[in-house]
Amino acid sequence: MTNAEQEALGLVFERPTFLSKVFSEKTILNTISIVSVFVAWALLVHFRVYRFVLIPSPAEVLEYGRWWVGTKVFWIDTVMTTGRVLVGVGAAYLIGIPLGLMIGWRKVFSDLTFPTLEILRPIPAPAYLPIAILLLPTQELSVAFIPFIDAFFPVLLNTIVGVKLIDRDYFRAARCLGSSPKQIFWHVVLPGALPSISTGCAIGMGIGWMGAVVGEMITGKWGLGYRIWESYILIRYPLIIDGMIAIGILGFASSVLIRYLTIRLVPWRKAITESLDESITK
Amino acid sequence: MVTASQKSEVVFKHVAKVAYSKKSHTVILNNCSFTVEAGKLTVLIGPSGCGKTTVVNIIAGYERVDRGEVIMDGKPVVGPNWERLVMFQEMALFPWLTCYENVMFGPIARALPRKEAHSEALMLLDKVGLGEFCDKYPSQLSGGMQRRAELARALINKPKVMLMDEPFRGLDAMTRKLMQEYYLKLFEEVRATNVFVTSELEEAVILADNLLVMTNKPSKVRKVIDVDLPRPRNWSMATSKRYLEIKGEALELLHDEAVKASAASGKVDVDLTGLLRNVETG
Amino acid sequence: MSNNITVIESQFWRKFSRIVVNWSLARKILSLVIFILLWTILVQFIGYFHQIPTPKAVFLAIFELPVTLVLTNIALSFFRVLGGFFMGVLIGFPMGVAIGYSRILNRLIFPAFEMVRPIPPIAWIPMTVLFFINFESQAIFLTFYGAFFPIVYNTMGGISEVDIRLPRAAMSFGVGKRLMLWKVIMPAAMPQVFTGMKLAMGITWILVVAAEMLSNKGGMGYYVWYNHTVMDYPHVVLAMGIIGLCGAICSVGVGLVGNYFTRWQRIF
Repeated sequence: MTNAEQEALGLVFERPTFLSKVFSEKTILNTISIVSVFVAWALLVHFRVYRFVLIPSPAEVLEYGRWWVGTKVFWIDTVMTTGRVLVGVGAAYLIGIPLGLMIGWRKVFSDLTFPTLEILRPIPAPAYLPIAILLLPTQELSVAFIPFIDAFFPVLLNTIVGVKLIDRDYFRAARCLGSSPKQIFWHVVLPGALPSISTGCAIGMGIGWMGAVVGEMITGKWGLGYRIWESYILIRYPLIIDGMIAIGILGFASSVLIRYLTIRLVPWRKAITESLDESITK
Repeated sequence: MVTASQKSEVVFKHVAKVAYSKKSHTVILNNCSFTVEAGKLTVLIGPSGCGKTTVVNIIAGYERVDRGEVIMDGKPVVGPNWERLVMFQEMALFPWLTCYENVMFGPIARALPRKEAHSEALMLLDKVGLGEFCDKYPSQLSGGMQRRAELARALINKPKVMLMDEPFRGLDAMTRKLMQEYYLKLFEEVRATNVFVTSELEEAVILADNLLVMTNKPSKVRKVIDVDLPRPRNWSMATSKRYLEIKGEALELLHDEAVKASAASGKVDVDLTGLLRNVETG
Repeated sequence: MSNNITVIESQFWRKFSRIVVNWSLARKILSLVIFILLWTILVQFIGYFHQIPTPKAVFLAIFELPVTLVLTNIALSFFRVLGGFFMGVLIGFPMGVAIGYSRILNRLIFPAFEMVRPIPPIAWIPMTVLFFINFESQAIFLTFYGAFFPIVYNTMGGISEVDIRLPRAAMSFGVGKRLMLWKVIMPAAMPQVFTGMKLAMGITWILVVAAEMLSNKGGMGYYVWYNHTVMDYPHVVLAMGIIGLCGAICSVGVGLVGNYFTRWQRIF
């Protein structure tokens, strides 16, 4: 609608003031939110409230952080941790997705494998560590096993749900057109489940990062998790927080990356979050 | 059955309503004026997206007008209350309450005498044919049954204006016909003021006392057609001369509006007589 | 004549359904059998895996369980899990409601949460050791932290995603702002709230086990690691199974409570 038309109709438009007020109110509140965390932190440490005397102040953390980022150790640690997570989560994708597709597609397969998986599912990932050490050749892989287990089940369950959510009509249409099972798999099952798979991948990456650090703290010489633990023992407390922040940033970045990739690879995806959450947390 | 106080009149005076989105705004209604006559069934019909639901929301009090006035019985409409109740397109029963509890919701919320409300609720549920389903949850009912339960929930409050926003949409043809007949019977018995929104022309004509044909956005009432078919109505009148006249008149107006709408959206338009219209693209 | 046909039909149907049921169930049992067989084969015939205990060894280890010790450890783990979980609910649920319902509170609190959330709970362990005096409070803080975010976020989601027509209809029926939250918004949000709680329960167990493995203050996580250090692997596997069972019981428990609050919902 052009300005001339607007005037002819006798309506005057400006962004209503209340909207602009809300807009800036939003940014103000958001900023207060973030800033107050640091302010509260600094104040608690400064006034030595309770045991905050032991905790480094934001300034110390920042200073230490600047130094740490310049060291070689930091980069080795980061690469190690990221590598372990990516290997673990990647393995979860590589095993979980095909498995989930088969389980969702064929009842026979589901009956044969699912009960075993359901028994294994409640076992928390860190509890696998001793077995992982026995099973896997290197200590590296054992540490990567924990993110693997953490990410495996969300990916698996989301994939299964994804297959089950495919409208049965697609299968019927494919059969009408004379498709072989192999074709159905590649052209109906896989693409149809992709939206859910991508959600599962995102969730898996998030949970995988949670488990990344566990193994490092318990065993290991390199990695951000280990570095945090070591900082505690060596009484280099600011580094603990720097490490925590580093892990947080990396985890956040990888989640963003996965979400971006899935949006690119699955443009037709629609938000189907409800049913997925329910089946994950059964 | 109806007291004088149940016959209410709603007047729209030069109403304008704008919808704001993040980047732009749309004028939905502009200079819209009409009267909903007391005790009559007024039907609003118009091209899709022309703001019929907005009109309903405004009368109900869920949205406020940017310009103009909405007057009910001489007093401006300021907010939602029991005097104007809406039946939405999709089920709006409270899913966590049983049928009976849903129907009792209004009286309980308004602290009306419980005993009378209880017997009235049971009577109404019987009347709409849900006597045995009082204790079922909405998720356990079929689409038609849910509609009827919503009707009962509204009717128990004896609203002054009943607002129906495409209430029979999505029902199969048979259920729809039955619901229309049922609704007609109900209206003709009670004769409260009703506003009915639909996009089905045949439904509109058979139900209406006054048929308001809306224009495109920015909408106003293009024409008020007085449907002077005799009451009580039934579907056999659909073949009468008068019905077909009215339907033809409305159809022509609607078609004109639809053509204008597609022209406005920048598509090249071919009208039914085969003349090509050059319109601005994009 | 027609009676005979119905009798024959129902016999056939009963036989047929028995067969159908049989197949599926049989395969499921077969699944477990295959799992145990594979396990035994891998361990006994592949030299590399010789340290992993056979199913038989694990089974026999049940009889050698130091019962009181295991029960104590189970109790300890449960205490830490439930302590943190309930704290998470008590603090997280109202918080989630608040930031789901009030736009201002949301803008004031949510960004801070979003900033802290990416830091995984495990990374907090050294910090908690520094800050809290004894292990119990450390563990409970950790589990609280782990349970907190799923509960808050899912509650917030549930509250803010309530179909707007429901509160509108309630307003028309005469529900005022005060009662709206209790009578309309919360019941509608319940399914999502319990989704968050189930998620939180799972995360809580992961954290407790991890924390116990890192310390020596008892609990099933510690028990797993202890058996690992003394190379008593049948007991390691047994301990894993026990932990899994406890976690499953907790999840089922939360699920049952959730089913009560969402009994109006039919999940197809």
